[in-house]
Amino acid sequence: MDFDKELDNDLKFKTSKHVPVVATFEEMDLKDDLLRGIYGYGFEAPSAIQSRAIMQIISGRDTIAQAQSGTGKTATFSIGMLQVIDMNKKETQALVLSPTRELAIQIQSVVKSLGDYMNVQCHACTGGRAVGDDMKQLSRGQQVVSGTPGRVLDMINRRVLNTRHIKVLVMDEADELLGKGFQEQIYDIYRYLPPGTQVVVVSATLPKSVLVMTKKFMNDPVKILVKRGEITLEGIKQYYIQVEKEEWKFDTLCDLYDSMTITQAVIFCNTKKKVDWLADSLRKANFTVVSMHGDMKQEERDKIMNEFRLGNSRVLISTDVWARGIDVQQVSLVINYDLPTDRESYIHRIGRSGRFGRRGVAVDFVTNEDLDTLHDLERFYSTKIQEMPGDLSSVM
Amino acid sequence: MVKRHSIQIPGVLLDAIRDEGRYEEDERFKRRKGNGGGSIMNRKARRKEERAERKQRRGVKGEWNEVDRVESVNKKRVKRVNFSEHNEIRMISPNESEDGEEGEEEQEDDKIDEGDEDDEEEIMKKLAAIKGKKSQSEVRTVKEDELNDDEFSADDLNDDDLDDDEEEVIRQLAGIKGERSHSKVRTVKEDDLSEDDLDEDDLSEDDLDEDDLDEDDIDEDDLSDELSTDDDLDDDQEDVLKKLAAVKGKKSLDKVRTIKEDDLNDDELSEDDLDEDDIGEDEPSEDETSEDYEGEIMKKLAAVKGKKSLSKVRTIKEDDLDDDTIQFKPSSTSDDDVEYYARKLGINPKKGLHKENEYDTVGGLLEGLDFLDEEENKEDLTEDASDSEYNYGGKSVDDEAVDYYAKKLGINPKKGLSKEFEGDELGGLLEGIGEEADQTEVNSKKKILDSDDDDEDNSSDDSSSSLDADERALIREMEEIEGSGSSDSESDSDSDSVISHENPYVAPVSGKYVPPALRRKVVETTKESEEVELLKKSVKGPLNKLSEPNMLSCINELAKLYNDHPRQYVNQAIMKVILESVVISTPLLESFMILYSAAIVSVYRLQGADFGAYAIQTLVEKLNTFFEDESLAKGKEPVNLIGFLGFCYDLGLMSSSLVYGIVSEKLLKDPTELKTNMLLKLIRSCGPKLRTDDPDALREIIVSLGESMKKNESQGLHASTRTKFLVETITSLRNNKLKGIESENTGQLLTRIRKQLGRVGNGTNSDPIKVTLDDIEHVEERGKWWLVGSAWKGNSQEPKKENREEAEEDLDWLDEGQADWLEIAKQQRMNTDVRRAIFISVMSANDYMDAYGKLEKLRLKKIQKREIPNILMHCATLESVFNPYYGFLAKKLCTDHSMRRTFQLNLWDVLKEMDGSEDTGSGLLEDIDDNTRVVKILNLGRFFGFLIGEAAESLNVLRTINFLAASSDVKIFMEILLITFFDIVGKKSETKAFGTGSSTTSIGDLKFTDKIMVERLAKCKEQPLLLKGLRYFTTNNVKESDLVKGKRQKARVHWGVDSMDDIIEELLREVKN
Repeated sequence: MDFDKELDNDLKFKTSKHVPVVATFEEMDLKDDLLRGIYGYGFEAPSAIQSRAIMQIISGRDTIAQAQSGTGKTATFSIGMLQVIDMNKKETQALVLSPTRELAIQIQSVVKSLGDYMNVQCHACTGGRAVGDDMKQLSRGQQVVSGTPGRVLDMINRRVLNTRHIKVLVMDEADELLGKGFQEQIYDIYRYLPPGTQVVVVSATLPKSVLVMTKKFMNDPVKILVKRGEITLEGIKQYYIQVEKEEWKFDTLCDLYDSMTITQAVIFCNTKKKVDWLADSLRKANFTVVSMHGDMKQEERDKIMNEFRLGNSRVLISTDVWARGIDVQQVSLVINYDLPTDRESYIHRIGRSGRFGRRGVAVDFVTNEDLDTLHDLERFYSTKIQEMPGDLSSVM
Repeated sequence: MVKRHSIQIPGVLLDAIRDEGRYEEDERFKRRKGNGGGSIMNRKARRKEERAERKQRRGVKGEWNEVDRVESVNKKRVKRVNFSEHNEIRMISPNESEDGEEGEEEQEDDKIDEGDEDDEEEIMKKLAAIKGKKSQSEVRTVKEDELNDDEFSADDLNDDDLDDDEEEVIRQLAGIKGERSHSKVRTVKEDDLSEDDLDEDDLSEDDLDEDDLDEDDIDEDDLSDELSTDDDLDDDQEDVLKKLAAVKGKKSLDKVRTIKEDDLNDDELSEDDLDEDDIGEDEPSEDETSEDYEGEIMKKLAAVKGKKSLSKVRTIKEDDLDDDTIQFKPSSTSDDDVEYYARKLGINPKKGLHKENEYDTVGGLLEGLDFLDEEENKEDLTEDASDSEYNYGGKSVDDEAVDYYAKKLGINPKKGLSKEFEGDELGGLLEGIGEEADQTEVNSKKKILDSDDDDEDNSSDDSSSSLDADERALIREMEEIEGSGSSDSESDSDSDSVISHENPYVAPVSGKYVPPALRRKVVETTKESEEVELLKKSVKGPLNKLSEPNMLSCINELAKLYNDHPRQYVNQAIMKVILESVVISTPLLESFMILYSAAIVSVYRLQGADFGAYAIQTLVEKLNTFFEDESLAKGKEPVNLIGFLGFCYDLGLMSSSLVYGIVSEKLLKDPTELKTNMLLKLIRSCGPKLRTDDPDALREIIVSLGESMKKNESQGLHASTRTKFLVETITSLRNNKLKGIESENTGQLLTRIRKQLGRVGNGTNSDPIKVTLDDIEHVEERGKWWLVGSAWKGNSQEPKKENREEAEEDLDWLDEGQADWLEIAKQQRMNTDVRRAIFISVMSANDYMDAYGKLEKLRLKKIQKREIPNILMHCATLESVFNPYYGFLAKKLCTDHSMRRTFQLNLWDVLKEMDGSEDTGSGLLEDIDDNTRVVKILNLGRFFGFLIGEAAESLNVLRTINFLAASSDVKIFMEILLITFFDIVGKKSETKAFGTGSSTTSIGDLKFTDKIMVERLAKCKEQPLLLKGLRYFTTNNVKESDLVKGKRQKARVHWGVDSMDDIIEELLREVKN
């Protein structure tokens, strides 16, 4: 819930002008070895945030990058960092701070994979591990250190982590880092850094308070905001199926699965109860399903989303609450098992940004009572929702 | 909905009526035909439209005025003509009463007319009074007359029409006009059914005309000559107003009052119009006219209101409407007119309906009507304007207008019907209409329904120059409003008009010829695939659900389908669905690729090779379409497909040869960006397995890749980093350094899936299908390789030829594993199957043990076995140098007694042949020159010497030889035989001298034991003759033979001869004793 509001509030935060967009990794003039690492990692073309932010990070300016999760933020600063690093020096040149140990380790692995061909030394410096190991590793010379604030500060205090050569400080999930819990530590770490250290702030959400704080340690930052694109209904084929009765919906859903080719689908229900019920029913029907709703914790949801993204599950059932947080871009079929109660959620459910030219199909299950709502939606978005054609295979 | 039905039926009826030809009975009709040229029709049509828009106010008056205008302004002849046409149409309409109702209608009309006439007269009086105020009516009439005269003179074409109009006008004008000859004609026409209506109309028109005249006068005074046309138009409007007023007057009791009001309105309107005209002087005259029309419309609306109050008025109007519809039919003489009329009719009926509505639900409706009227006025004004413009444009674009009109015609018939039914359904219909009208007005700014689109098109075409978008929209609205009673019917009628050419009872069948290819396509897409479609549905369910946890159950579902459906269909369905899921333009997650490929592999394991083979074939063929035309590939389709193929391979569907074939023959040829991407993807998906399966092939690929890279670079093409990355990836694959290519998730999934797959199937089909790209691409020529017996190789001629060439080129075909032995066998005159088989076995064997095995496998019968020595000897003689292989093979064969016997007999045959007795020879030495004969003899000698020396044959076999009288051939033969014999025996008898190395023994040190020689000779004890002969022959011929080569051999031979001499002496002595 907060998520949505924040997103809306953040609309004031806009991308600085004249941020060029670089369409390919080749054009970024990256080190050959790094480029290979990028290809090896599986990237082919930069994502929206990557095409903008990487060059800014490389240019040495302080950068604030905001983008939705799953859009390649980690790779963005990793690539920028690796490009800036002098491979001939063994000293620590880049420091990445993240709020959780897992994230720090994940960043380490990303940096390592991207720097596969560069022989970059990257160490994850997190709490919960033996300090001795960290010290050993750091004394060996780590060009990149990814860690949580507490342990990093500890290492600095022990004079194991030499900050003298650090060029870049990256703060991932900055809203967390700059929140109450970490503020002090971050400040302490920052004090150790040489003056003029480039600061890169990356986050999915940036509340105003955080933005204000960034002014204290950032010098005329470039702001890059990649919104979820304007969500549009463009390129989305919308259909409705008149199921008349609520009880018929499930059969209809199963029949859809027998008639269309569906790789992955997101199904929206209006209530948590229904989400659970539908998930159970589908499991009984031999579907592999994940479901999420507002009662779940953020980590749980992230895990579920991740599982869904990796393709471990083919159906995601969700309530409206998370419609906006779900990156459904890779999903070509969205089913509104219930029509949304408010009109805005409709576009968040089925809409996607036109920038990636993703096309999709949205199917609304409409009971007799819902017909008015449907027409209302049609009018509100001045769009046309067609009745599902008989030849279902032509739909996808 | 009701409307639609009503519309359609009338259309049919109308057609029927038309067919009966009643319309043509009308004299007027004929006249018109004669008088009105094609050009006139259009004008009429336009006129009618205008009138209709004026809401049945009997635009007649306007027409009259127009006629006047024509007279005054020659420039706008066209318009005038139209007006005249309109008049004509009106006239006609009465005749056309529907379906035999004509008579009745006429009567009714007459009655009404009479009443109307009375009213009209009254009105006339009023008008006259009004006119008198403005100016003298006489003057006006005079003017009109003059105008009429002018028209007649100017427009020859319109004569009759004009005459009619004029006549009417004349009558109305109190007989002034009646003086003219035209009036007679008119009267005649009027006698027709429609006369009454016309009269009424005329009367009202006349009144209006008078007003118009007044106005005209005024206008003339005020405006310049240019404006005169406008004035005329104004007059028209005024006329209309007057008409309306007249109508109202009829309706309401206070005729005078209404008339006054109308007059007032008219005056106001006219004034307004005038003002507008003044303003618009600079503008084209058409605009001005349109403005005038607007004024007219206003009047009409007013009239409509008036009508509401009086039922009579309504009925009259209805009658008029009927007349109009009828008129349309007669007008069919010229299509343009017909269509035009049709349109008008459409409009009119609606008006009629409106009126009725008003009548029925006068209380509530009136208010609405007032409201509507207000809005309508505005809209109408603009609409009229646009319509009028439209009309003008229509003149030039007759065809378009025709179409447009045609639509309206469709409407007309319905209207006629609706009128008939009015009694019954009017209430409902009217209400509906009223609602529609409201809606249309409310939605006036929205775009019009599809049914109107055509109209829009027409109008836009016609009046594109003058019409703004708004105007167009207004037109549409107008049309909607007009057709509100019949709006649905309009659209229906449109479709009807299109369909009407078809037989409604027969399904529309395109009778055209369908080429066989298309037919097949149809069959494929429909019939055959019908079952596939059904199957597809049952296949889609499991495949859509397929995920790692439920993989086995999904696969079971798939496998079950094979029980209920033809296998091939299931195969097709599965592959079709999977390809649909895989070949998509967006990147497919690897986990799905793995899942789908796991599904294919499992089904292959469960169902056997035919599914696996079909799957492979489908995949490769699909892939080939991308290679053939890369433009076919959308987005990531080929990359997804090749990744999928890679995973199929990885999971053991096919062998590496196919994948390598694709890489080397497709991906590495003429590399493009796409192919590079595909290759990368392929290596990502199955690189490690490729390396394990066939490192050599990988090496070759890397070499060729490097070459093509070099080539590209030499040509100045700089390889992109991506290509370089590809090369590096492949290189690291070769070096087994490939890492991180598979994401963690993918790798784990693969491992788990492999485990699951291990449980699938009974293990019989778990081997990868060994098929090559070549096989798949030549399925057409070679058959399906996976079906036993389906594949055939001999079909293609090329490989055969190649083989023959090879055989000819390579004389040393023993080393050529690939030699076409059958061919060689033929060359060697192996004339029976047995001989050929033996020959091939002998010649194609790797060594003598192999040959022996092969011969054993032939399972020859005893008699057939006798061929073996023959062939063996034959082969032995063929060699230019003796090949011990034959000897060893023969030695092996001689372990069998019968073989040994056969060799023995063969030897004797050869000996006989060498002795010159031709008849029993083996044929080995026939027909050849001396050199080869000697070679053969030497070979044979060595051959048998080897056999005897190896104790495969005993020395006894030589007993048939007469050593004393031997021929030279035999002597040579025996010489080489015995040399070989001694050589071998000597070799065996060598004993190592004490203290010397094994191989370095010098010749001088050679020591032999006589043991073996004694054994051999002992077997010949019974043959003293042989022994003596041998002794004689060896000492005389062999010991110093030229054929002995090498010191070692010489030593052995010397020893052999000596020892044999000694031993024979011993043996002979024993025998003697």
